[in-house]
Amino acid sequence: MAYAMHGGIQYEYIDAMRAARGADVTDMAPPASLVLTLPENKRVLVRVGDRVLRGQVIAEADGILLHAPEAGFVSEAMDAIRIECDGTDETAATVVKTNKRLQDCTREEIIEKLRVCGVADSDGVAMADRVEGADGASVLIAECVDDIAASSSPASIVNGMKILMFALGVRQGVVVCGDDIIDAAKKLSEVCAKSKLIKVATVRAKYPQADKKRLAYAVTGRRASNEFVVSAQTCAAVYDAFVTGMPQTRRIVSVTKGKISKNIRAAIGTGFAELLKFAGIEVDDGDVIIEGGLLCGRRVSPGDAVGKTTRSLVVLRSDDVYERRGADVCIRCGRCVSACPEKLLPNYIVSYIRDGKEHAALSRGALDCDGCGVCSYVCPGGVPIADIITGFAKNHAREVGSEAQNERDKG
Amino acid sequence: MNAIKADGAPFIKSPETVRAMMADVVTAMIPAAVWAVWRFGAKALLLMALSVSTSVLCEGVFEYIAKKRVTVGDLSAVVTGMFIAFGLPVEAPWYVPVFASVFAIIIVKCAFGGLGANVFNPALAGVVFVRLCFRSRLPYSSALTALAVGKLPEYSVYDAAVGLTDGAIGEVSAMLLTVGGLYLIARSVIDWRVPVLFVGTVAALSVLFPQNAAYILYELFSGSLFLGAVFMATDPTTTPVTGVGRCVFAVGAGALTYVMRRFGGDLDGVAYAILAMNMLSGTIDRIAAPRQVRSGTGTEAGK
Ligand code: SF4
Ligand code: SF4
Repeated sequence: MAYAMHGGIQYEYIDAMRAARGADVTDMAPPASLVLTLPENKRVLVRVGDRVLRGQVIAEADGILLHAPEAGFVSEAMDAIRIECDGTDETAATVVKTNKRLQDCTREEIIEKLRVCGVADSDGVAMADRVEGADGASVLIAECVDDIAASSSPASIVNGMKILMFALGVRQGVVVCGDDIIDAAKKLSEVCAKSKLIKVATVRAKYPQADKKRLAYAVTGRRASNEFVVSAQTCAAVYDAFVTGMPQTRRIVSVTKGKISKNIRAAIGTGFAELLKFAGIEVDDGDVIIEGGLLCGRRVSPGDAVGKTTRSLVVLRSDDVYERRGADVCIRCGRCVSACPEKLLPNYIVSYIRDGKEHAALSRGALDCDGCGVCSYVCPGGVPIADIITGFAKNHAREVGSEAQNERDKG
Repeated sequence: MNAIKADGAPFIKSPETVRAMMADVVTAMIPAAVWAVWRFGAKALLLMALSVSTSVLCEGVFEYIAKKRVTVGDLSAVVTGMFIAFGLPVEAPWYVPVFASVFAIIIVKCAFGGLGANVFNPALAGVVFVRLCFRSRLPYSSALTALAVGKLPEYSVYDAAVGLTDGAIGEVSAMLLTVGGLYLIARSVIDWRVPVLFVGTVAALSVLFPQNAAYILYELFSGSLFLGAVFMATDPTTTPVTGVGRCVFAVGAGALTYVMRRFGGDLDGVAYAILAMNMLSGTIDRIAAPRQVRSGTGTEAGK
């Protein structure tokens, strides 16, 4: 059954990514040195000169353990940890297989395993915390729409779901695939055939769909149901952590430029420049590298590296980069309204903001905008809608002050 | 929740422009325009040329004098000009399209702030304006005039649908206007529900409360119902922006058309019905806003 999602657009540029989405994944050997970027909130557990083994804990970042993806020597341990790989395959003694069957495990054991293995979801939140904090979830949704892991490891995905469902006490699981990866969806269905609890659903592959709330809404038809959404790749990582005890040290990343698109399994810490080179993609002057989606990702530089949440990298040719188109005038065509996945009225919000009617803009949900940029993309008037709304939201947040902001963030 | 992204999405270039949209509208008008020339002769072409050139000129001159960016390149003035000509009978003297265009562009469009800010459909307002000013110079006859005096027209319903009738030059062929509409729907320029609901509402009311059953099909295919439903009620600027709002607009315009035709002083009613609904567009938007996906996290959003 195909579910329709509100909003979003289907566009041409992404064809190559589509084609690659269900395609094979190539393994990339770790490069000579790996860079693990650390957030501000961190605890570094190694020193320059230390020898680390594959799977050894080297830091704690935002409450998630970070492990050495490969064995080697630490050559930098400040804002980032750099490891010069020595090419040996030595694995830390902490990496141990689980011999127990799932049924014999307790919820706590599973959570502990996830914590020790530093499994993060696609937003960079610790899976251990999410499972621990999940209250009364009734359905587990594995998102396979934007995720390229579908075809490479269907069994791991489904098994990872089983583990999570067990830990969560959830009796229903849905793998949601885009209708553009029919082959992968078939493979998943075959794997699921044996399970009564997990089924596969397809949604129309529109951009942007990986937003949890919207995805759940499209599948369950309920606005705030108790769903627990994870990406397919995270499910696979959960499975690996549980069975092999191997921490999360690899990511499958789709790498695209123009018509070339490849899926690559790379070690966390692999520099983007090396990743792109491996994919046979050249970055010319003026090209822009985007991580995380053509419209809504963020700009990165070739010096950045694969992290636990990296899933796609797009190199936009300088000619293809969005530019404001002269006019900047709203003709009220309503395209932004039908495209907005948050079901906002972007054109009205913009006109309120421009007229200084702050209250009206807020009551129209200006802060619900997640900056996906679809509106700006479809706007024939060339209004930089997303820029204006996100800019307003940022200003507003600043004005409201940190205290109130903290309250909001919790919500 | 990382609600705010730092460096401006979207990243990929967009092909959408107002000019492309308006070019599609012009393309969609070609069948009806060719039909007008074939049926009414070169004079029809002259009317179109006059109103298009006056519209474009007015917009350019106004913006130049007002020291604004000159936007004639977006083709919206061309569209307005064409619509004005479409709404005139072939007998219209040369100054009528000129007056209508000046009024439409200067008063109705530019004085309200230009493209996107006008409340009323400029072309419709322009046509209504000259109809009021130069009534005696603008003879009008269509199936509706015959029906108004209780006679059936001399031609068949088929002729009325195809356009082998009289009326304003652009309105006669419901069939070719529909072709244009299908093109616009295929190009995602207009929302298919609008023309369907507009015509559908008039049809439904005519069937439910018929004046004379034999009249119904004539009534549907004559006058500017199809022109209005396909091209005027789908004007982006002067209609609601939400899907539901547009449906409300279309049904409202259809109902008003029926009422005016039946009880009002205007034979056709379509132009007045749309202009009346134009005034309500903003209100409809306010009421028919879609429910937001998030339940108003962090906002004062009431509903
Ligand atoms: S950027 Fe905001 S307003 Fe625009 S489509 Fe996305 S969520 Fe809607
Ligand atoms: S897409 Fe652009 S022109 Fe159309 S209504 Fe939205 S802001 Fe206005």
